Amino acid sequence: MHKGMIRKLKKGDRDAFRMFYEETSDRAFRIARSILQNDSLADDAVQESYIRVYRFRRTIDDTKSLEAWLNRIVINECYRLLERKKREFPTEHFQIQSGDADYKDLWEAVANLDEIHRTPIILKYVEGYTIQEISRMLAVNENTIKTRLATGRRYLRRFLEHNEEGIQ
Amino acid sequence: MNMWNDVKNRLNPSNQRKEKVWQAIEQEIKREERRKKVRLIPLIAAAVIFILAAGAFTPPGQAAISKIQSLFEPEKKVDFEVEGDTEQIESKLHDGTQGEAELADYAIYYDESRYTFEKHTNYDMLTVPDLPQTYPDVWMKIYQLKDTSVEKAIQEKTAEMEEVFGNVTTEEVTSPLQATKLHGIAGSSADSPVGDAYIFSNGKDGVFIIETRYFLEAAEGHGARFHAMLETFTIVE
Repeated sequence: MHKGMIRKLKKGDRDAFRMFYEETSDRAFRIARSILQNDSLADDAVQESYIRVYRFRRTIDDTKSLEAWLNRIVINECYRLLERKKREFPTEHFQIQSGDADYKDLWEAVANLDEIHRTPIILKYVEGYTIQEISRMLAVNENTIKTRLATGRRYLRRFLEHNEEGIQ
Repeated sequence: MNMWNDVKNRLNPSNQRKEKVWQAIEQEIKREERRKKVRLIPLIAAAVIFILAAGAFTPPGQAAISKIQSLFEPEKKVDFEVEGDTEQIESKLHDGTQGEAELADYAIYYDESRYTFEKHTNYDMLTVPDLPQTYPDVWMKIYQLKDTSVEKAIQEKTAEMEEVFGNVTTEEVTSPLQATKLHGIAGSSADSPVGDAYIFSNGKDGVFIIETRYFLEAAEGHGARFHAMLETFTIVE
């Protein structure tokens, strides 16, 4: 989103806000759905996150990435929901889009990871963030992120040992 | 297809879901704006009457009603999540009018039954009245630095806090407000001081710094109350 639109968003321009939603919400949903594995809670987390962005739009710092800020809000909101319930949510209310049958095993392996390993894996391999960016988003130090990624990859590798492509 | 793209596709929301959530966001924003307008109508009317009356009867030099007092309710119920319980506490508006073009006005609600908020020359400070002298400090201080970047303020405040707390961590937070949060603890005993500083742009080429102090044992008490009060902090344009 270019700076002119961010300035408009800061002033409360609804079209600029809609454009921001269009540009960023796919990723916000993916992050929320991967953490919560529950559609209705992920919807709540995304909804609340955008409302917070709009509510606090005047404090947007033009020198920093707006999407990174949004992602942190989404992640915090997901953790707040997890903390409130104090348990993993049942996944039966989680409808995924159909995918390639060849990669079904990978999806199952990722979905079965613990949240603390799944989230860094999704942020790194699906969303393409660097370890430093993930560390900032999750407010966890870089070495811990590296360890969680290694553990997550180990688990996925075991799960996929018969998959030809494997994990790079 | 790249196998991670497949995971991405599976996690993508449907267009219907995206649109449904957008509608909910828009509705909530409209509802909030309507609530603000409804609240403002009687307040603005009252403010106009007050200003007219003040113009006629207020002695020279006495302050008339501020913009913040006309925009915000003098008291409102705020949710305080303290030690696992949520209590709704009638909280009082603190009017952070600055009266200087380079400084931003702000509003915050505080729990009047536990704290007092006082205006000083260059800062506003929330304290616990009659805190026993044997108790460690408990306070919140709000101030602004003109013509200062957020980065410079973080650097200086970190150095200052490191002298008190030793190790100081830095974190970008979105709750209770969007800011860079510095955090330090001087020790591990119940009365060890805990210091937080929230640093963010005031939107006027300067920065807000909100510092809080409490002690380790009071993290769930004063610490949680400070957090709830800071969630009500609003910059007023």
